Parts: sequence; structure tokens; C-alpha cells
Amino acid sequence: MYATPASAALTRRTVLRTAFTAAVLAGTAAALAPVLRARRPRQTLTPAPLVEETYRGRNIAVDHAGVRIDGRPLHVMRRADGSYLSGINHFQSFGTRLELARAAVDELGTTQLAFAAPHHG
Amino acid sequence: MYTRQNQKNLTSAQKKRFTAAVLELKRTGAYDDLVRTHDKYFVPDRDSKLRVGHMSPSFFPWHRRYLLQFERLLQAVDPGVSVPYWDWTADNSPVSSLWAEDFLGGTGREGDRRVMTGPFAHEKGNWEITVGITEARFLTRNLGRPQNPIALPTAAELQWALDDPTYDTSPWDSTAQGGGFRNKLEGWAAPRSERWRNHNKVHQWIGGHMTGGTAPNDPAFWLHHAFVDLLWDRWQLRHPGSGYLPAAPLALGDLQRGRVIALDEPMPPWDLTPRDMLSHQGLYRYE
Repeated sequence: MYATPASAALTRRTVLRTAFTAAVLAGTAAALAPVLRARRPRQTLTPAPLVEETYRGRNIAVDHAGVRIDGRPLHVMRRADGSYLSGINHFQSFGTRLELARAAVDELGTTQLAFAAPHHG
Repeated sequence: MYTRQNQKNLTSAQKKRFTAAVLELKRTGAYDDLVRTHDKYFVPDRDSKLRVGHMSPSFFPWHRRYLLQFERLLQAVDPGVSVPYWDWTADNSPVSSLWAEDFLGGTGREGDRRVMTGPFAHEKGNWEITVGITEARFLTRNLGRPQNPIALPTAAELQWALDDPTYDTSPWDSTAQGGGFRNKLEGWAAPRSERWRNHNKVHQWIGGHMTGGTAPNDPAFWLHHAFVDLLWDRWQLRHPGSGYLPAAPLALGDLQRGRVIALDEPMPPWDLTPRDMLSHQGLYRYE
């Protein structure tokens, strides 16, 4: 019924890199040059996520700034042992932010995070 | 002086009065203020800030005072109502009478986890979620988490916490592993094979809103915490020579100084100390 975590991980960058490599091998490097130039400034403005995957049909993105699910920020907190808690999971913690995000998706079902969430004092 | 009853012994008239008073607090906005308080005071223990409600020794006294605030509001609506408790080691099934149409309603439906039965179902028109971190305006639950099943704590698991004669131990947070009733009952301390126990596990078992900082959006929160409150009594009875710790403010140089509440320090948002909350004699008793 749901995609498993193992089958879910393939980053957008990996997909792009593979596509470009294939294109270069096919001898169309010149044709791609404008595309590569066009990508550069956009990358500076919006750094690619460290990890991005589709999990149970939801987009998870983890980068230095935080965790997003379908583009919406997930409030992330830390426990003294270094593990992670989120606005969705306050009574359980996870070893990595990707595990934290997947657990949030499991709990959310088909619901979306709100864009503006209440914050702790 | 009034009695907090085991929820399984409530008559249908008592269930009706309890849920009617809760719905009235929701209508006036007082209920949502309580939800905000819980979320605001959840401070994780990596932060160098004061923790009053969770991952800290004042977990029991803070929630005792918090429940009293809720109960006083309820009693202003209906003086005959008190907070029932839910013994989750005994009534441990999604088909328990607790989750019936005439009380808290049942689990959420597949997909969006929306609660469809009982007085808190969104379709009844009286339970709009306004303090949440998702777009859901309806109450959500996922009893027993069928996709990744979890069981409620057993009597043996609870006893493991109650048997510990030490109230709490350094570093007074979620990593306190050397023993300590508080962390074993709050549920961060657990054998490696399990990871989560007791109080934390109950939040996870209910699922939906109960797994997050706005857990009191689900009225099941109060019945869960009334039982946690009763368990503090049981621990005190079992270990009459033990008491709340830390008894005095932590020494200069202790990393937890200023981050946890000692016996005679006030617990925000109230001007009350753990000592003030050690006993509820004369206020209420448990059946």
C-alpha cells in the first residue's frame, strides 16, 4: 500500500547528475552548456537539499536550515543525547533528521503541515 | 473534596456530564488556552533553558497543577464533574468503552486520521482544532498505530518504574539512566530493546494529535495524565522514605542549574513549587 523507505531514496541531484552524464557521453555537451550555465545562479539562491526523497508519496527535504515536508517546515528539536524530536513527535526521538521526517509523514497520514505553527516559549 | 473515578466505572450520565463540560470549555476558548500552555512549556533538554513540564523532575508536580487548572474550569461549568483516570494497563484495547460513541469516540479513519465518532468528531460541529501544527481542523487519532503496531504499557513495565526508590537522578533530563522513577515513568529511560515506555508510549499508542506538543487537543490527554498523577501517589506510598529530588537548587557549575526545578522553586506559569504539589490531600482522592 505504501512505498517502503528503502525504495524511496533517490535524490534529485542524483537524478540530474545521471541525466547530464548520459547526455555528455552521447556527445551533446555543447547543446547542454546553456542549460548548465542557467542552473548555476539558481543553485546559489536555493541550495539543493542534503537529502531529498519521496516517502509514502510525500516530498521530504533535509538541509542545513531544517526539514521540510512537501515544502512546509517541520519544527525540529534536539534531545540531550543528540537525537531529534519534531512538532509532530514530542514523545519519541530519532537518530537522524531523515528518520524524524519519515516518522512525521507516518503520523500525518494525508494531512499537510501548517505553514505557520505555534512556537515554544 | 471530590473523587477522581476510574473511567471504566463511570455511568453513561457521568460520561455525558464530563464531555458536555469539556465541550463548553472549548466553546468559551478556555480549552484552547490550555492547549497553548502545554505546547509553550515543552522545552527539549538540549536547550539551555528552564524545563518545567517534560524531561525534568517537575514532570509530576507540573502536570498535577496543570490538571487542577483544567478541573477547576470544568467544575465552574459543572461542579459535579471531575477528571476520570484511564488505567492503560487494564483497558488496553481500541475497543475499550473509553473509545465508544458515548465517551471519547474512536480512532481516526484511514488517510487523514480524522476521528469520526463521539462528541469530539469534527462533524458534530463542536470540536474545531485551532491550536495545531497541521492543517487539520479536526481531531486525529491512530489507536494502536496499525501500520507499525505498538502495545500499551503492561503492568510489569509500570511496576519496573514504581519499584525504583529514587525519585529522579542527575542529569535530571531524558538521559537519566542510572535509575529514577521519573524518567522511567515519563518513559525516556527504557531497556535498549524497547526504547520507549509508560507515559511516552501511551502518547504514541493514541497517535494523531497526542504525539505532538498540542496533545491536549485530544481530551484523552486528561484521562491519561490523571492516571500518571495517581501513579505518583502509588510511588510515594511504596517508598515513604523517598522524596522529590533535587531537594535543593543545583550547585554552581552544574550544567543543569537553572534548567530544572528544585523542591522549593516556583514552576512557571504558576507561583507554586513542587513542594506545594506533593500531596492532593483535602482536594481530591482517587477511587
